[in-house]
Amino acid sequence: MSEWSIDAPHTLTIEQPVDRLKVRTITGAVNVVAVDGPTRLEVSEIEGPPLKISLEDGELTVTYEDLVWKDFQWKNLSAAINRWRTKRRAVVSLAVAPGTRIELGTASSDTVISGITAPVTVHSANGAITLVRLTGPVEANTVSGNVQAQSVSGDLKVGTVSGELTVFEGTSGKLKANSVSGAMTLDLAHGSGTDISLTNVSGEVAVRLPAPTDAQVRANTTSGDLSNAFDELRIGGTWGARQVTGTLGKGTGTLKITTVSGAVALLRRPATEDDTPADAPRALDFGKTEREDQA
Amino acid sequence: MSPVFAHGRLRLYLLKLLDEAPRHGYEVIRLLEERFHGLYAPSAGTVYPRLAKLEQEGLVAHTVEGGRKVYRITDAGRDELASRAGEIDALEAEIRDSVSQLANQIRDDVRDSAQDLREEMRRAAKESRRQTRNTDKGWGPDPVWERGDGPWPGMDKESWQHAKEEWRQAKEQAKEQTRQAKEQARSAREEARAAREQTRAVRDQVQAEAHRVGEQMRAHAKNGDWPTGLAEGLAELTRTLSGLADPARWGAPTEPPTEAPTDARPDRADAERVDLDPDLDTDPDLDRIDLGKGSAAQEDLPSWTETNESGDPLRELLGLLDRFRDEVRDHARDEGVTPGTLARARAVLAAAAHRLRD
Repeated sequence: MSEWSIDAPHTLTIEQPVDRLKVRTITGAVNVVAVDGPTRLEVSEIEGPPLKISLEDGELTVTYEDLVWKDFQWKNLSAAINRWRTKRRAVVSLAVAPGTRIELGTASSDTVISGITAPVTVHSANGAITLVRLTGPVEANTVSGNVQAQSVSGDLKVGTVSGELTVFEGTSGKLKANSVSGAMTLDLAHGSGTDISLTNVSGEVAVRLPAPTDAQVRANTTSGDLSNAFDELRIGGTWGARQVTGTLGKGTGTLKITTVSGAVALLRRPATEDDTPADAPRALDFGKTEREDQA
Repeated sequence: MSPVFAHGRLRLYLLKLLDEAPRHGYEVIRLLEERFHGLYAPSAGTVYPRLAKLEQEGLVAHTVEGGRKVYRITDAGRDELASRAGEIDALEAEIRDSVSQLANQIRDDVRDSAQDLREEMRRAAKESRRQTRNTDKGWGPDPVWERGDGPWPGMDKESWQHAKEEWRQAKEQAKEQTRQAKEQARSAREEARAAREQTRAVRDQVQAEAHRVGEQMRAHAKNGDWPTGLAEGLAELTRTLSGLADPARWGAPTEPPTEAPTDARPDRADAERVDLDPDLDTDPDLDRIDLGKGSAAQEDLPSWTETNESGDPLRELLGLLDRFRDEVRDHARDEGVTPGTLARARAVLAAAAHRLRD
């Protein structure tokens, strides 16, 4: 087992294999990008107590001394809070192998995770979560932070209270999202064999499907507005609860939307937009220049 | 983005890469690209001249393996690398900055795209909603409703007003009906009470009358003129009661039950008492009439009780009974007969027959 303590901007290169990464910080930012080669840990900004980094059995843990993953005890909470009162801000960037399992927990750090093929779990109170080109199953929970997922092809499970969810170029086989008041905007790149379930209370839900889609659609709203761009689907219900039901194409996938007062929109993906292949090599070519080239 | 490598830095980094392992040119390019997370993608036109220059300086050497040049670091190259270790660290630091910058860039990029997408889809949703309302009326809950400015989607103000008006009317109707029902119940109760009062009054009158006649009769009897007293008393009693007894016997008991059954029950009991009392007293009256005496009384009797005094008394009696039967039957047919009336009729007839025999 190796341990490091970092209290100033520093870079660490870890030659031992890492197959599991756990990060728990308070504020600042946590970035995880996939690379071939050795694992690199970079702390570019740090305020407050030192970060403790440990590596044991391929599990790399980045946290504060008093923020423990296991053996959390409520009776120690007040003492812990007192210690936490000191400002803790850290910008931690990690470059890990694509197959590293990722577990992040932050209070208000912004999080970027890109190019990972293994399962990813992110918990955040009010930090924004950005997920790019993840192919493994992803679970993201946040209270008020926004969740943005681009080109995520693994199963995606998102829970927010008031944070918005935006999924674009999404190719997840399974997508499940719950929110209380956060808006959900989903742009799906391929529409066959996908299993989508969205639940919202007062946030609006907009789903854009590619033109040939195979899905059984069932969208319900108790008092929200409903709009539908597919002629194959019927809007039913009278006063109060309204629903859109029907089958698109062969109906191999499912699309279920339930809201109480949030508006629901089912949109058609513009035909002019050609689908970029999702099998491009991970998330390492995201420079502004390339984006400008595309535009 | 500022170039990752300041002047001379790439050269140093190439040495570092070759220090790790012998590599061929393409591998070096690929590794550079990966180490810098796509931020810096040196072209072959940049890397190969640098490698050639390093070779000229004697810091690297190359061997040809499988038709490709494989570069390896020389001892001079290692010395050079060691002497410039500080610069390598600075380079590392720069790469570190690049990673967080990269992350920031990814985040900003994704955020911008997400924002664009959200706006685009929101516009599309608005447009779709408008189309749904305007061109595809059939989808709405009612094709007539085009606008949705009512309390529910697809329901406009007018129809909402209309529905509200309907509800109001229905409510008023229900209220009116309740009021009418209450009125009816009250009037029924009122009628029942009136009927009871009437019956009681009749009964009291009959009792008073009977008492008075009884007194008269007793007075006549005391004077020894009892046949006259009896005749007068009975005639008067009959006259007084004929107006009261008939409706009391047939009409009154049948009316109240149709209005208020519970209230009418005491009435029936009253009526029964009324019926029996006069019957006991009127029966002697029949005796009196059959005897052909008391002509004054005859004028007040109903027409069907008239008898021919000169005829055979037995036949006249039979005729009288026939007419009585007709009278009762007609009355019963007109007014209807209930089990109660029947029972009362039995009692009255039995009492009458008993009196006639005496």
